Amino acid sequence: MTKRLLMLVGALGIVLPLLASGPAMAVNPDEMLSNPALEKRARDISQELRCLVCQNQSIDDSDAELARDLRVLVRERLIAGDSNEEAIDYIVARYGDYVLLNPPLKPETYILWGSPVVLALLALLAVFAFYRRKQREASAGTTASLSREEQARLDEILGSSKGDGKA
Amino acid sequence: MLAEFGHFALLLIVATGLGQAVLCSPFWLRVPVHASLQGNPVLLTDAGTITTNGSTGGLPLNSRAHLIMPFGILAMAIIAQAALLHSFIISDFSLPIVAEVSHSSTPLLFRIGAAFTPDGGAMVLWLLMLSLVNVLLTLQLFGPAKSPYAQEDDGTLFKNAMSIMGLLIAVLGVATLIDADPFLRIPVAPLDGRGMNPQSQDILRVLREPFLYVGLAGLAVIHALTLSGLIFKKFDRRIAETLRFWTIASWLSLGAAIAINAYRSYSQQAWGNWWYWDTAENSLLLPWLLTTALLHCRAVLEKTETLKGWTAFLGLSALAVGWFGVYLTRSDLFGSLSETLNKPHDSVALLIGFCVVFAGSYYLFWRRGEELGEPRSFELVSRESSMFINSVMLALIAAVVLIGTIYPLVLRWFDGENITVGGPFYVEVLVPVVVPLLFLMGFAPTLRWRQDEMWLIGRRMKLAAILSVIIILFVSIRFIELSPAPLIGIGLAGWILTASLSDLWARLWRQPDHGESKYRNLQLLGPRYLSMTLAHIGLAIMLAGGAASSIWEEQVVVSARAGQSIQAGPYNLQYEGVALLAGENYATRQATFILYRHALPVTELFPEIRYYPIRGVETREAGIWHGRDGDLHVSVGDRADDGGRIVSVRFLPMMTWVWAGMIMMLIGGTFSILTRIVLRFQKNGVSTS
Repeated sequence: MTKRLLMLVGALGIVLPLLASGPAMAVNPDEMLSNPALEKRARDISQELRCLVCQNQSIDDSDAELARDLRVLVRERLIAGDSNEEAIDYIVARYGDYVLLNPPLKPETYILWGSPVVLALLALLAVFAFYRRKQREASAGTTASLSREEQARLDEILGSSKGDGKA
Repeated sequence: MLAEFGHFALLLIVATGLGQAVLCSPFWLRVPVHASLQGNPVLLTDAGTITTNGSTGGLPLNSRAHLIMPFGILAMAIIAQAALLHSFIISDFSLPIVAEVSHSSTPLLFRIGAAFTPDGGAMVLWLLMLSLVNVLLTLQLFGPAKSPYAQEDDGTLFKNAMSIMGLLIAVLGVATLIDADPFLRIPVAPLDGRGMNPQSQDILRVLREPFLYVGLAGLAVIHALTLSGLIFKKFDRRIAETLRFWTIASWLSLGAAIAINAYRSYSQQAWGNWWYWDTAENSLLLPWLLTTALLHCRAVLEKTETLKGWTAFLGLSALAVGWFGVYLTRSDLFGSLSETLNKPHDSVALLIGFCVVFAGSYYLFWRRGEELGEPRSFELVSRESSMFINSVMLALIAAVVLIGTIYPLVLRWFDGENITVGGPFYVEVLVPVVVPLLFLMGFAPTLRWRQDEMWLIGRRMKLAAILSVIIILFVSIRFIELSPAPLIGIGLAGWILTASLSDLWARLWRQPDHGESKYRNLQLLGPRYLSMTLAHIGLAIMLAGGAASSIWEEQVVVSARAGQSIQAGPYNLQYEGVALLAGENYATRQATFILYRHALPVTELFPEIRYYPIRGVETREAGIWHGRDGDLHVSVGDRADDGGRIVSVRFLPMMTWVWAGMIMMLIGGTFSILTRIVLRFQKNGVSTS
């Protein structure tokens, strides 16, 4: 019990100074722009940009300090009169393509963007070939699977049943 | 001292696994492999000896070995797991694995949970689950309620599957010992551990691990049975029947792991997102996608004995992506969201084992896939086709997710260039595949086997088509500014829902044949059909919820002072203030909110910011209310510059549907498994009495 109490005191000792320090939460009111249209654009841009220290999280979602800096930077660019593209380009020029959650089309990513298309075409071709072969096998199968006697017997049965039907 | 027993048990698992691999195999030791590879049937004679092509040869088969080995392995695995858990419970820091992820102040429940988080601990859990399914497989094939085929010549085939299971257990056991031996000791123990990763200190996060590894173990059984079928060139209805339990069980537990993971992200993140397409999530999703594809193809195989090659391919690949996913999340090539604090290890042995096992498996598939032989065929417009084409699309989705996951890694390796493949990429690329997949899913269950006619389908689907068009029109007129993507989502959800319900309706009101009882229609539905319908409707509900919550969410971020009230959707949150409290091994700032709906108090919510002093990490727990019209998600941040508390409130309409849909899918799977087990024992009881 005393150990737990000590631990709590220790923990609070670390937490309390933190309470006074800067915020660490995804978009907070301090950052927000008073112009709602501009703020909406800033949010849209933020969702396309990656928090550099997180796993595939956008800066809009992230609590990290670095994400906050980027959000503030985006807003500064928008106030300065940048369009959405210009603001994104500004960030990319400083942090590289790594910040884009949607990788840009360039020689290094041709394979990435091309492979789904190629795979889809291959899948289509494979399915097409599958049905072609099925059809061929089916047509070949009916003639090959019956021997001559069997065929004769089948004809006889079919013929007799037809005869019955007529009679 | 117990840890050494565990270590020895781990070694024995490898040895016994190899023993099972050899003793259960009809090949190694007894008959020339070449004889079988040349296509001569390998048969078990009455005298218990193996014959190839008529000539008797080899040693007599010890027919009891395959029954004893699995139980031995299970006992060893239980000892290993118990020894590891014991070391965590007593906080034995002379084991580096304990010192790395545990601490004397970690609560008991999470000391146990921490045992599954490091690589070595996860491997022990995987081995335990593998030995468990190994025993279940033995009981299924050779136990009291045994499969009727086990006594026929297929007994050899099934024993061979057991042999492959033994081999897989041995390979993974060796990988455990080489990569991340959990039972190694250091001479001088640290005074205390480094503490559990606070992100993992959650009951759901702990529960996810057993589900994930049961799922992966089930995939190993599927792999073993499939491979055995390929070896004996016999991939038919009997194997499909044996596979049934395993595909549903794996699908169910992988699905549960995904659902748990999604809900955990949701309750932990300030913005209530539940999927980030990160490595850990993708490595859960990949095997689930292929298992879903396999689930459907297996049904086709059992019913019509077609699609043999493709089903076998899926059976092998499901374990392949599962295994590779495990490797991806723990190699230092990528970190994952939840494990960024752990020092990553390079699991070389796991990768080598993967390469060897699957090079062999796919080589065999390449050689034998064509020779399985399909006695029957089906038309382009038929139930088989719909399942086949949908499974191809599921595999396509899995391939794209796999490429998206490993592409940044490969590029960095070749080029040194860093790129990110995130959510927007997957959405853009996958939507063109998912839309036809869901469209086909709507009417696939109504199709006839072998052959169907387009005009008949049109007639059957008329009502569902009209209803879903009405839904789309209603939503698009009511909410005129809507972008097309969510509209398509809602439309498809409506399509699947109305199609499933209208099919159910048609089956229930079918004109009974002469002399049939009134309840005949109900009996004809059967557990398979009901569980399938339940799962499909669950998916539709989840889709509708996901689309709706993304369109109509309301989000407010304010700097709040005590007593202030915040409006979000039909809800009103009154902020009461923040209290400093002590958790078992953390300090927390817990905010209190009173939730009102139309001025009536509903509940109190307590979002928290926790601080874990051992690792010096803050985590966030959201306060969530699942209302009937949607989720209210509230989380708190630090102080704002003006002295208020930063509060983020989100109202996500119909978000409850996402969770309800997931649960319905899981219930569908559980229902299917339970009825199967009950039926099996009933049948067995009848036949013995």
